Amino acid sequence: MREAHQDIRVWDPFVRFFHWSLLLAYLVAWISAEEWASLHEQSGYYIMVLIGLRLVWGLVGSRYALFSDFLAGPRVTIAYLRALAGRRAARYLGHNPAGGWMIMALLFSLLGVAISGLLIGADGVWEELHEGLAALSLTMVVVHVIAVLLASALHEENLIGAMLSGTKPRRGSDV
Amino acid sequence: MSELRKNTLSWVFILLAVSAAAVLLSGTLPVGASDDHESVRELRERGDIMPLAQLLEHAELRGLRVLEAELEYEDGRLVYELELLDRQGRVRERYFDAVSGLPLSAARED
Repeated sequence: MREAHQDIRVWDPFVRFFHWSLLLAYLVAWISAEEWASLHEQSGYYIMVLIGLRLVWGLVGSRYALFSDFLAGPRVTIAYLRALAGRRAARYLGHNPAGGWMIMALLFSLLGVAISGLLIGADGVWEELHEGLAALSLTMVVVHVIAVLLASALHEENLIGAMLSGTKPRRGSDV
Repeated sequence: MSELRKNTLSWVFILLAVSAAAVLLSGTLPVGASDDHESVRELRERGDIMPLAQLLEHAELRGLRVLEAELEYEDGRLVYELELLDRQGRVRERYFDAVSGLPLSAARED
């Protein structure tokens, strides 16, 4: 039986703005690549600004935005993944341990894509790295979306909606 | 820090990101920076302003190194703003009317 719903604010305005404007800039960067060089470069700069702000926000931001809230050690993370495989993973109000590491992986791969793009010059090495990291980041985005859909199904909740509204219904068994 | 202040700070971060986006987008559009460049060339080609090279022939400028030259609108008229290195190694800013090439103000020192 489910307890009576009490909505709790989880994602603050900046976390939500960051999430959706990063997605938008990422799409713009993909679409403008090879098509519109200046827009492609500006979207890369914007992604760097966004990630820079998010890294600061992870240190000074609201409760569930803090790295200290969602970065778990390897033991906790592996235990979580095991529980997830058995479909008995606990529901987290903030990021779960696997989601937390997914976010760090996304942040740093996108930062790597942007920085390697910035360094593209006559030297072909950076261009190859840029394209390789871009492909890697796309793979991670796909994993991220699938994981969000699976976690939504597991806990019978709409996580995409929560990233828009910022709120989640509190339940007695939450972590 | 209270949650209320975190919420305010959250909006400050959004504002920073939006400002960055605005600055970046203004650089992407085809108008803007390149527009100024066009008009300087047009002005010179039409003979509305004295070319910079001709201005540098000016007696007062001979033997000085030009560090930076800008063409600006000041009080509705076109002005060359020159940053110069004088013989004593000091940086000076001088202003010249871009049409007549006449010096506008006394030297300013930094």
